[in-house]
Amino acid sequence: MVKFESLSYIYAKDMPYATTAIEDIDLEIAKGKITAIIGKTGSGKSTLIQHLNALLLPTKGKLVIEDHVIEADKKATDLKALRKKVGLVFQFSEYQLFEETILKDVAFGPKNFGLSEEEAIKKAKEALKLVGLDETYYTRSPLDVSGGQKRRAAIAGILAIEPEIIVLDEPTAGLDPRGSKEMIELFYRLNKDLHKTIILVTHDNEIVYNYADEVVLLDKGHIIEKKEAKAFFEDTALLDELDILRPQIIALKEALNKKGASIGDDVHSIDDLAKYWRQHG
Amino acid sequence: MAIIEVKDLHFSYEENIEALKGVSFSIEKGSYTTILGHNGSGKSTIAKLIAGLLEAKSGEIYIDGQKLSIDTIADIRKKLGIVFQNPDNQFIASSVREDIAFGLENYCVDPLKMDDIIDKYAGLVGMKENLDKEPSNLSGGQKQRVAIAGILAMHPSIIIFDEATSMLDPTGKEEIKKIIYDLHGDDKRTILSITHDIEEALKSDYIIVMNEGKVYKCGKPHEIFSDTKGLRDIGLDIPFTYKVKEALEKEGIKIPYTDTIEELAEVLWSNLKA
Amino acid sequence: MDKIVFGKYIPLDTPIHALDPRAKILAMLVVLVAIFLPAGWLGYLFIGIAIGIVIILAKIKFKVILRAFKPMMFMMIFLLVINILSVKEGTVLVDFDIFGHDFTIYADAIFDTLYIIVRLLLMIMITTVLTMTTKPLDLTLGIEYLLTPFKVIHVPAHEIAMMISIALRFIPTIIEETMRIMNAQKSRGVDFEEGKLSEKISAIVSLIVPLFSVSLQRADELANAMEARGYAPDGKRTRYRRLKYAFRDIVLLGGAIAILVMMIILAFVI
Repeated sequence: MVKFESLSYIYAKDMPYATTAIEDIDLEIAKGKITAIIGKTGSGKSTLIQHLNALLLPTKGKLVIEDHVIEADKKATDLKALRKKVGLVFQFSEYQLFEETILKDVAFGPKNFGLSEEEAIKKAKEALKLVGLDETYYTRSPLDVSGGQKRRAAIAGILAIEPEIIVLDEPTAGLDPRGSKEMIELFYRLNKDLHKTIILVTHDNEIVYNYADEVVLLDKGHIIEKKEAKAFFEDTALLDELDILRPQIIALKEALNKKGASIGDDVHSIDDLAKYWRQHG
Repeated sequence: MAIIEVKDLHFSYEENIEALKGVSFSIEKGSYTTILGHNGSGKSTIAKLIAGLLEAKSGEIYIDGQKLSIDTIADIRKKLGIVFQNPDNQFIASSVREDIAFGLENYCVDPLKMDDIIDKYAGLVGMKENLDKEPSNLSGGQKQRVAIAGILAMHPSIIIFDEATSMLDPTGKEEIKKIIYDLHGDDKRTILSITHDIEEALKSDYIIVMNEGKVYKCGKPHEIFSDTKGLRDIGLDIPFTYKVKEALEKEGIKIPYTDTIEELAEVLWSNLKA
Repeated sequence: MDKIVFGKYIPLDTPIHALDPRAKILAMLVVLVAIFLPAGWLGYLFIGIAIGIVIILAKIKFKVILRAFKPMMFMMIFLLVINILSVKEGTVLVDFDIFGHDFTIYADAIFDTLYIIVRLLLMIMITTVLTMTTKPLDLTLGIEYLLTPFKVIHVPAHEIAMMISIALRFIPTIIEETMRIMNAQKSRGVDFEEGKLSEKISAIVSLIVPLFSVSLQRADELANAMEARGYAPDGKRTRYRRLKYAFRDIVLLGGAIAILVMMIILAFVI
């Protein structure tokens, strides 16, 4: 379980240009679920998730991640154990690759966390399998493969550490539609099959609607809404109020309902809608 | 009249691996064409070849009747502007004002005339209030708008967008797409946009679909997107309205092609009443 | 990122800000030469007052200047220690005994150190004033103009200026990039603060290699963007921003030269 307790973070504290990035965040993120954090650029999403790896320490309040407590004004201890538990995949994560071969790069993380060379390689191979890069990639240079494959290799580098919680910052940014879909389905599988807790920062509301369990909406450093994902997007009045882009299926339902149809909350996909239309048409 | 003509273009980044395996197409003056294709299909390579930033192994490119070569490249570049993918890596100067001036300086425009030109084109992309801002204080969408203003200031008749929206957040994407539509609608400029955004492709006049270094198909949007199976096979997405039509057909309901959700709702609703 | 405030340009509307960058660079060079003349304490007092007036005119807080000194503290103390240990001339100030070792401090050691420190401080003050009151871009433009006459001896004035201005433009981007890669590697268990030497080396490699490859990619894309917009390094181009000397620039240069002359007199004539 992850729990933020009235946590605030101020950039450049004590400087004339200090800015509050997030303020009074109270948030509980459930274990084993996919939680999407959404909000405009600059709403504080990245600041929020960097706390999960103690890359930023709270200016005020505290953060509890299972048995780790990170508090304002206290030196964070046992960072390694925390970073082993929570894996953070940064935006454009392919920029963290640096070893001569993909296999070595993926094994870099586990080695840092104290595994022997042999065990680290074993974990690396498992992780590469998860992301769909086969043996032929082991000895290739990470700089030599396509953008999508680089991204997968970078993500394998986090998965090889075997974190319980995986935090993803815009994992699909810059990928083509096929690459995005494969990427998001990988995380969906990790959640469903390996029961990883997934925290996902994204601008893509289609992904949020189709894959997330919970939605947390940030605006100007504050949490505006936390709701079950499907229900969040059904509430079109709220979406208007918060200026949220609708998933297309929601937009279509809304347009039809305005004309007089009464499509309910159980229609979530194009196929649902087609079936509904046949039954009611 | 074709303003861009590409004939049997071949190109390799590395020996023995052809990125383009004989690409031919032509683009009408004043049209809005999108090029679709997954990463690695060769679509960005085409943009770089047309802009003369790469040299083809074989094949010919004609811009406005002129054959692209070392001798004509300087001339051709004046007719053609290109907006790249990464907003950060094309902002050259340290302020918006000076970045727009960069191209003007290169073409030896009289410095006394530059302020008026800068004002005009910054206004056109909605950046007039930010003329003295530094790039680090601008959003991705704003940086791309500056790039567009810098290109417009040189009066090109062709503008190429090389995945210009793909690194932007939704707000930025919408800003840039709106400018693209306006440029085509109001100015009748020739627009060539390389994109992953199928909703954008739906709004274009023609689509060129690339796959594995070849042109897979060319045509009007509905001709391209009605081939849902073919597109899926080469890993491309299908517009929402086309997916709905496809799903309804499986349930035995036939509706015409639509482009927007509003049109689709209208069609569905009248279908229900019929 | 917050730490890099040393000498950062602060946009204000003062007579010093309005000066032509060429005049400022030239004046700085003249005064730097003056500082290195052995003009004695009176001379330094003079230069100090002159710079002080400029600082007041530029509306820079002395606190900010003091902050610019801070990073030099360590060096100054180091210098003092070296001088105390090596200079054995002048009157004996202190003579004491530590664990049987004779330990003497001579007056000249202190004076020599103070000389160097004062010179350093004056240099820091003057360069800080320059960078705090001049836009980086104006600075590069000034350098380009000043280097132009040297084109006859094949100094690539424009290329140097373009390189500096692109470097300046990308500093914030690269700092941000560095932070991000550092954070990404920390998440992979890299410890940038502690650890054995071998771990430290691997930590640095994990930062430098990606930073290099990203920067190369940036450079490549930037070159494309510049070329596509008609840029040719050796091509003829006009300049949007033009520099023009004003009366105040003559005053500044005159003042700087006056200081130099005075220091020459103090150092060699009197």
